[in-house]
Amino acid sequence: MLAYILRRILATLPVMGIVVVFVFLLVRIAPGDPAAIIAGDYATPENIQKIRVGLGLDKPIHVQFGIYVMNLIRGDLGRSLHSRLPVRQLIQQRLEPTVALAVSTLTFAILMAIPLGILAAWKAGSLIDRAVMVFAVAGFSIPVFWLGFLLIYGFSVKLDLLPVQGYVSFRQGFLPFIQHLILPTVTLGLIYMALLARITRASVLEVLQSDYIRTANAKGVRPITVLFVHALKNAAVPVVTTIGVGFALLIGGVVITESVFALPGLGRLTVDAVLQRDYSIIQGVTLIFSFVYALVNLLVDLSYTLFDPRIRY
Amino acid sequence: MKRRTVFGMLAGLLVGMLLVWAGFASAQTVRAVMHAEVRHLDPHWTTADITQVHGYMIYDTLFALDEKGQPQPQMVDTYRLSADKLTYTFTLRDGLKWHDGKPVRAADAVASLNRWAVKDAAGQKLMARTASLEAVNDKTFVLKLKEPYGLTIRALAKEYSYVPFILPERYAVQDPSKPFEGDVIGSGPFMFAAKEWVPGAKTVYVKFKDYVPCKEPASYYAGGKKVNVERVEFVVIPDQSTAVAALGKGEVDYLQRPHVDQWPLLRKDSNVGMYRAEVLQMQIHPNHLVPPFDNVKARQALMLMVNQQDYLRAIAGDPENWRTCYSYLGCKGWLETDAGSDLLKRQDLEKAKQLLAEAGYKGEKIVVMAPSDYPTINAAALTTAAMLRKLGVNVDLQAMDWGTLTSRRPIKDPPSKNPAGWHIFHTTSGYAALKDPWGHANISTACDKAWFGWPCSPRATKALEELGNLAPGTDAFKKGLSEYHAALMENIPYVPLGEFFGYAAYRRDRLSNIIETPLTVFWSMVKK
Repeated sequence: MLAYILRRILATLPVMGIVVVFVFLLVRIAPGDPAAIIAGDYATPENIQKIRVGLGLDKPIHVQFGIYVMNLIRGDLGRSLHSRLPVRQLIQQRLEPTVALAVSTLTFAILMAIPLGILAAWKAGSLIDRAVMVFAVAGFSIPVFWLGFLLIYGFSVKLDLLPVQGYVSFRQGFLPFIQHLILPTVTLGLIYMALLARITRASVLEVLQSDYIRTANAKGVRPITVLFVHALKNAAVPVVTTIGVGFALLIGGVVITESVFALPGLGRLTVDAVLQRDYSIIQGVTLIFSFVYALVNLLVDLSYTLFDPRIRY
Repeated sequence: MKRRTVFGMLAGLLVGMLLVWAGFASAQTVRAVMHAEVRHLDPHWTTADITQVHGYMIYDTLFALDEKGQPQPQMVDTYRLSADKLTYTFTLRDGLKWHDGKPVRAADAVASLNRWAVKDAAGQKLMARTASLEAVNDKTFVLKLKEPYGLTIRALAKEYSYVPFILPERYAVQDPSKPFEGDVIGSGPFMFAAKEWVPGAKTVYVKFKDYVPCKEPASYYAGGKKVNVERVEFVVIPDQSTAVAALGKGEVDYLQRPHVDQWPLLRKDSNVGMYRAEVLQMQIHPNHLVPPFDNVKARQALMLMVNQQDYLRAIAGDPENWRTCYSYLGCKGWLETDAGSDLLKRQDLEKAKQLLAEAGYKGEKIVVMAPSDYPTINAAALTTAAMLRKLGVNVDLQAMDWGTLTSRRPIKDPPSKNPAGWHIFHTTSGYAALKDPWGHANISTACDKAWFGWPCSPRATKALEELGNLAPGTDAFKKGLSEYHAALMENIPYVPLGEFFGYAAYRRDRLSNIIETPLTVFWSMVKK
């Protein structure tokens, strides 16, 4: 197992190398000039050029790449072209809200979706099953921003139960932390809930056709035990895969939800960096996301061994 | 008394103290949603308005404009001009301190002005006429001119980018092509809370308790900058609807520039007050180097194509949100004139078509850049595209983000040679810039050295220079102003599309004493 883990980690290195080169070139090929954006609207072409030189953006591209790679080897992701703060610090500032939203969203989605999916599979073909599937379709179809605005209007503006926007760290109080997370969690969670419920239903439905389930039923095992102990465990692999992919996507940032609720997460950091042509941040977050994806994939693959003892690495 | 009762009372007292503390803390904190995020901290490095706002929070200036548009001493206590009008001697006020406690010295002022003038148009004009600028002692510095220059004090009181903020000398001597390195230390009424800065999310300022305001009452950017709150937070809320909802619920106290779509909603809320914070002029900028707009007849065609009311309705909606204005230099200001503006006052599409043909236009594609992430500018671009099509022009309307537009507009090549080339873009200028043509880059007619579009008019350039040497209010000045404006109308560096307003919104039940400036200032403001 350890050898497998090491092999997988080593295998990510060439992938991340390709990502480094690809993103470095892509941001510089794309139209847009960070020096012009920094200089502002009233700046003259001469002032823009001065800024370009000051940031080292006038150097040949291979020189810029060399400097970047040397810094990367030392663990330095560089500095934001705009704020001049270390990219690592900027990412760290945004990590807590992003992780908080990701964890709360997935927790909410898992707690709601898995029982719903199992229920739908158990009562396949019934009204309950149809209701769950309609909910799943609605969940995919509803635009996130629309749902977010609706929830803000209802629960914040009209009922005055929850705040409209913002993020409060749990260090500043657990209650305000939770209060600020509820609406964004429900907004995002409903969509993941829809997806997870559907995947769970399909997977459990397949497993429920198995011989061992028929045997368990014939032996008089309680339905809840059949569903949650025998069926769910064997149906878990695709569900866990979906959860893993969902977590990686959430960490990557859900910019629409972050924008609607003014959450200072990694999604907004990335989009703002793209709009501002802040090359250092774009490169840094892309690298981090690649690593997170690779790590999540590894953890998901390792988790299969918990559900299926036949899988061994 | 039972122990339980005592504990209950103590607990209640503690909770009460916490609630009171929380209430006290929030009453002293103003939470403002500004039009952009503070990303750059060096106001001599970037012209971004939000960085100038940041500058007004933590820095001070030698002079500043009052509500009548007159320069008033700020950090300067007294100044005198020699009889030959060549030597200014400035003495700083007592009690000026940096946020680290060190005293402000004349050497700081000298270094800061030198740094500011490297990039600023008004500063460059001043320094071109300067023989020397030196500190005599810690409180006094002397500016010696090569020739009399009537705009000296006005340049030092410049209110918009680049504002001549005074930095500590050790920062001001650094290369202005890079942002200064080091802690953010100013001598202004607020201090920058660096540890709490989350670029793109939150910027925090705290009251500088050792700030010594001028004795005069606050007036526009001048006068006594008395701070009445403990803390100001610039909070980033990217979505306008969310920001308006947050203001309505009291989660924030101030919105600097809510979008025009939100104004009716804000006006309905009895807890919300609004004031006109700024006046903006929308402009069509043709590329003077590229046919057909290298021919003045094509630029005249653009002018005749325009009906300002159509544009302003598209940009700002209801007529209460805009006004027509046929002056390059702003309406209702000290430089208002409409000399030579006949072409702008009437729309004549047939004549415009004729002029385009005379300029040699034969149906080639005209590239109009439209920044879809700037609603007002995008509205103007779409209107221009529609009007050009009415003239029979083959329009290539290219949607892009502002970042792409700013990277393309320095390109001088025609689109036929360079796919990134362009014919037309739009932008705005604030009222502060319009009434300061000496410092306003957009209106430069200095040919190769001009702003994007590269208008070239030696007549206008000379007229502006000469106007700067005349005393305002005199007949000679009025004559010079007419000559300058007529020269602009002859060359048409850009087409002015009238003026629309920017409003700020605030919780009237919480905030009062707001000074109504285009770049919001937070001194004087009181929070209940």
